[in-house]
Amino acid sequence: MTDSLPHRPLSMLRAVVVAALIGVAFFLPQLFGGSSVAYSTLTTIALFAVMCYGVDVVLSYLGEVSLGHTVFWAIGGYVAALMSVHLGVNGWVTALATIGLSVAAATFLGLVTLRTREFVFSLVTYAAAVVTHEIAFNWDAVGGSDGTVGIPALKLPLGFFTYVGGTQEELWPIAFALLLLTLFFVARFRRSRLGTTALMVHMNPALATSLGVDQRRVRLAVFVISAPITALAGWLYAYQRAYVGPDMFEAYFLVMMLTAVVLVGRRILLGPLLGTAVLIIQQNLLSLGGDWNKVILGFVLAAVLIFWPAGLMGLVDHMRQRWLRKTRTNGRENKRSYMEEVQ
Amino acid sequence: MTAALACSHLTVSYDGNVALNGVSLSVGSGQMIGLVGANGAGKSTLVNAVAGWSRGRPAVSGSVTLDGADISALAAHARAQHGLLLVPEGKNIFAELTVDENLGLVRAPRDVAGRHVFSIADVFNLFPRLTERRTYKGGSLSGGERQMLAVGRALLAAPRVLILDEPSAGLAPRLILDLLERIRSLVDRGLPVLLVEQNVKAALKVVDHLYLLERGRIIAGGPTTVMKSDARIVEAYLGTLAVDRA
Amino acid sequence: MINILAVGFAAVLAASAPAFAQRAPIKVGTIFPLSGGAGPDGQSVTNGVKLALEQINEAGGLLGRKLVLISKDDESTPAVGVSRANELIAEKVDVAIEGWNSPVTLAMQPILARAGVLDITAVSKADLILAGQSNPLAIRINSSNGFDAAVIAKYVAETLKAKKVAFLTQNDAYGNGFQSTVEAEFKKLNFAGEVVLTEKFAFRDTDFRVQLTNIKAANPDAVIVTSASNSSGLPATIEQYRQADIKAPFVGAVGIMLPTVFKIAGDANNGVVSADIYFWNLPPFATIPENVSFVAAYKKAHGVEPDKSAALGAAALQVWARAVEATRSLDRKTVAEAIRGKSIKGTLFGDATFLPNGQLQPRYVVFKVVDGKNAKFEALQ
Repeated sequence: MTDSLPHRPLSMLRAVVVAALIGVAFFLPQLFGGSSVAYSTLTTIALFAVMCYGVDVVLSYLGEVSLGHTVFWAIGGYVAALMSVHLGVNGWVTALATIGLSVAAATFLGLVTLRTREFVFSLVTYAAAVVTHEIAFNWDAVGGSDGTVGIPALKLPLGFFTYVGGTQEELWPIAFALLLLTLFFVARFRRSRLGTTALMVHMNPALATSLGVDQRRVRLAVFVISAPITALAGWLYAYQRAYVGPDMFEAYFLVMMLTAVVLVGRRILLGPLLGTAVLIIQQNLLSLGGDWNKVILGFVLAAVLIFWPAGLMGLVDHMRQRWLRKTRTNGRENKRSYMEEVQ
Repeated sequence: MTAALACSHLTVSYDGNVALNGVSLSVGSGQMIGLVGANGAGKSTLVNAVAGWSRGRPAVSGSVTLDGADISALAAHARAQHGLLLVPEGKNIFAELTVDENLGLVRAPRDVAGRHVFSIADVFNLFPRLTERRTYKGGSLSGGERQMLAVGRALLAAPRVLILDEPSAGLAPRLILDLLERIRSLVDRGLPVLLVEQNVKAALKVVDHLYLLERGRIIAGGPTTVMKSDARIVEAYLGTLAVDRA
Repeated sequence: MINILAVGFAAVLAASAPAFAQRAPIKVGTIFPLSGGAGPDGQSVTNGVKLALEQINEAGGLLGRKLVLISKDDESTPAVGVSRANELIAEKVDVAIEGWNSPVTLAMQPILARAGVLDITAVSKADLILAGQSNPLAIRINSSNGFDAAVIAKYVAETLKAKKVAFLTQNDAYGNGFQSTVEAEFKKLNFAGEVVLTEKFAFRDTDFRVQLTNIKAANPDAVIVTSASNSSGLPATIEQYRQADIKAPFVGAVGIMLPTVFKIAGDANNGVVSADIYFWNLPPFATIPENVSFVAAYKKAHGVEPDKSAALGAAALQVWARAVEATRSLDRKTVAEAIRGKSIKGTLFGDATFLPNGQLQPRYVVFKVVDGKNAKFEALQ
């Protein structure tokens, strides 16, 4: 736990610092030279980070590994692609449809997996992803194995004018806004009633029940709200790439989601964003070639899970605790007598 | 006047093996009822059946009423929401969270009619020890502090009835009595409590009524003053010396 | 993290800065799978591009400038391909030659097109690539499914004069698409025979005995087989076909008889008929001077003769270079319009004629396997 649970009012200073950091973050592409690679890399990082937050919510607050979030990711991509190509509707419409459909799909999958835990939960969600992949791959109405091409630029009418996201430079503000929205949502969720009860269920299901928490309802609710996060990332990804195909179900995205969340540590607000950034930067700018990248990614994932299951932040925390304990035992502390305890 | 908590003819069996056989008991307002018995007598089975827990797939018959309303069909979380609050044995705090966070998790219901409402200040008044530990993680608390925290958290949920399952497990004798006496002070203000205990000696000091459970049946029960000298209790749990001192 | 990012971008910027000021080289980018299962194939295409590029440099370059190759690995993953395409755009390449997997090509196409980079697809076969929706100036070297189906339909209908035809079809977009196109071609040819049976299988299947028993019972004059599983499913199909003792000719779809099939199924391949668009030593290629010199140079560099993949890569570069030479321009539109619907002389495919949609008109060699163990075959027709 890095943040404490009860609501802490944001101090003025903190608000100013956060606002300043957000401002700087927005101009990151320019700070890195303003090239199209800078824009596309940062847009991709923002986009994939949003994708990862859906998985993060489920993993960090239910303690379950969802292998089915590629379904929601693909729902976003397919809805944006098919509706904008065949119906010619704007981005708001496709976004709303994305949210609606992903919530419906998550409700269904959530109800199916309501009684499952851990390994079985992962397996069932994975099965859902496999089945959906097969459907997308073989159903010509959604593009079949070739997918859908010719997705137009993202159009977002804002009353008096329409924002058009065609180039990477134009898509960056949208990706950035989506990321901010997601961070805000997840931060609120962490402090919400649902967030805290989910954490109770995760930490001690029996105890949560004894306090009146309906485990199943909480699990279903968390799973359902995680879906549109990942789905909206898929929605924007469709416009960025202008092509959507069954590759959205590929392990590439699944591994990215899980690694990015686990790498830095669970239940850390910026964890998935940092994890995604590290992975994308390694792949795009410090690449050692496809085979080596996969070896390294697999090795890092395995090493983190085996040695520091709490992620890199967990490692830092561990070191700090050890240091603290050392300094503490050197000083006074820490023997309690029974007397003291009864007062 | 209806009892705050009553169960009648409660029978629990696992695959035909009867673990609890026709148990009836009731806890009235301002009463502290003790339920004692040896390991395996069926104490936990009774608590689970009353609270709506189902370990394995037991067949449960009989009824449980809370302030006169039948809650037999409700799930465990719903019974808790209705004010039947159980402080389970062991693992009854969130070890990763601080004392403040543990207490902050609970929100009292909106409708508190018929319930015993406690504020965080009440909890700290009852257990001043917790005040000093507010920023400590649950996992670093001593056994006694954990019990205080668990009871305090249950109080914040505005109970109708409080069930304590073996609160003395793993505690030093002095601490047990201290804890039970503090809880007794709540009972004197009206809170009904069902105390399930192995430590008969300690229980006898605080409860109004005592039931003795053996092999799934209540084999004896009555006011504490009577039960103190009941042969079965004396032989099995107290020994002569204890009777003398009591 | 910011430091890593800064170092990374600095590296990219340094790489994209002009290496020498006077006559800056022309940049040719390639994106193929260089790792994973399709890695060897993608390397083969890349080698073909590289060799053709070196041949041009040795002959004095293009428009008096040297050509340099920037090669990228798409890892057979569309998302990675998109990143690589963006990198090529940042490096300001003058042409991108790409595409082993259709989904990767389809994902990269709009990115390259929006950035105004000329995009030549070497291998990926999906029809959508040339549909013009994401790249109105698309160009493809490999044959299209439509042409492939036509040559097979023509062979079965006119050469074999089959009356009863059976299909053994891989049950996916590739297999079903191929079959329906062949059937459409039959109609165009006023085919007198009939399709007596269609048997399907999944890409991962290795046991085809039920389907083959049904085919034997139907007693067809020809069996048309599609299968993209060249390292397990297809060799198994061929061996079980022989075991089932089916007398009708095994007619394989275009491009399926790859080296692994010969290696695994050996002499069971004898008698298999198929077609393809490039053989280094068969007519007409054996007599095209550009091919002869390419084969010699390739053998010298890699110790083996070039396969179709390498030839497609080389042809892509040659077609582009000839068009640049002819138009004296590197502009995407100018060069693309000099290729689409036009004929380009002097490539290892001889005169390369393109349809208006950018598809190279392939020249097929229909062949029959005569010595499966040594992958020897003879050209028919």
